[in-house]
Amino acid sequence: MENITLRRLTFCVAFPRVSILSSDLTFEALSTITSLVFCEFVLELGKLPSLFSRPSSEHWGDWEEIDRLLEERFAKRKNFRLIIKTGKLYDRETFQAHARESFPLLARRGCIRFETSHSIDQYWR
Amino acid sequence: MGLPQELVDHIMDMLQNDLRALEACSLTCKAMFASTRHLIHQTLRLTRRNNQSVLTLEEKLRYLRWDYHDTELRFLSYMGERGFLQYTRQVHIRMGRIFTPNILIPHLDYFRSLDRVHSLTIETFDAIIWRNYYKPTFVHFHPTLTSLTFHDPVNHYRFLLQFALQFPNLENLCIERLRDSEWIRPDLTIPTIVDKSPPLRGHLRLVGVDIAVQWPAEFAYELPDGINFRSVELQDVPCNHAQHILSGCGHTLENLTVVPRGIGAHRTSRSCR
Repeated sequence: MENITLRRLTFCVAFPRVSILSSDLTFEALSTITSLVFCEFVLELGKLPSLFSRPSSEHWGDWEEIDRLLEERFAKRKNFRLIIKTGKLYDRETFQAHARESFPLLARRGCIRFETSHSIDQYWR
Repeated sequence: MGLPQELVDHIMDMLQNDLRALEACSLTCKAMFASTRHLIHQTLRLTRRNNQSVLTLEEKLRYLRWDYHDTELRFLSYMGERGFLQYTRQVHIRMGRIFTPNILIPHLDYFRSLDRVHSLTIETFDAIIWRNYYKPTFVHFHPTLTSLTFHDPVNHYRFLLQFALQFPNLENLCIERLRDSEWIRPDLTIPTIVDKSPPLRGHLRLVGVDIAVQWPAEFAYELPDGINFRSVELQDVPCNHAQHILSGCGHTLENLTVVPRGIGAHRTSRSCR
């Protein structure tokens, strides 16, 4: 059965392991989306460190293929967003810079939105 | 002169998830007592701890002698005798062992008086045991029940789905950490949905366990035609289950959330409402 109504796909992960999402399986899940109203790919990241001292690739892994897929298939839609939701952030600037480095095509389009929700910290322990 | 009752009610509504604050407020004056009472008793927690707190000395002694099947839900009758069950909107049953009809039957009249419940959570539930007791014990939930949650249920998910599909107004279903899902009776089928307004139109949440990782995907494949959840949340399952859900979960799915297995941290449960 083809899904035609999906608007939002969310992946939740604890931050030290965020790179496991940059895998073929996430790519394949995104590839199967045929919904024309799909407009939000959400990464909900828990357990953020207070400092991001290592290079972005070490924290984030390789999102190049997924960035390209999102750019080619969805980002042309006016309302498409990659939403990165986090709990409390101490080093906001570095975190956001790393995220933009991981998704350069979407960053160039201005499709990345950052959201903060205190409830995310409560979910992870 | 005190605050207008509407204001007091509004403030109490804002505190509705803070039981301690509600209890403290209820002791201050008549106005607050009146507006907190239904909030304090809106969730009925049938737990071993609550039950122990209301047992008489004689009942406690029987409990120690393992002669306790009629006292394991004494808390339910205790609350019913005091008229608190009229406020109950959510029921959470956690017996510390498999919830069986023998435990409930001595208190069935009070259980049947719970006629405004919208949310039911049962821990360690075995739907097979309840197959012949469904009508006398759960039919009174039909008009109001919209959310059903199973924590650590046993036996195959088909039994749970069969059980859930008996509630005509059910919208949300949550199955967390199903055990023993491999065993199945060959004659066990899931009912076909023919109603024009089928149940389960809301939220589905499935939480896997390490030893039975395949059942959430199979569950999605086996959902009868006509069941179309608007949102699905998968936790502790392999990432590829997202694809199974996308292809098997109907054409009304709007939101899909995946918390993959092996993420190195535990994400706590949110109740299914």
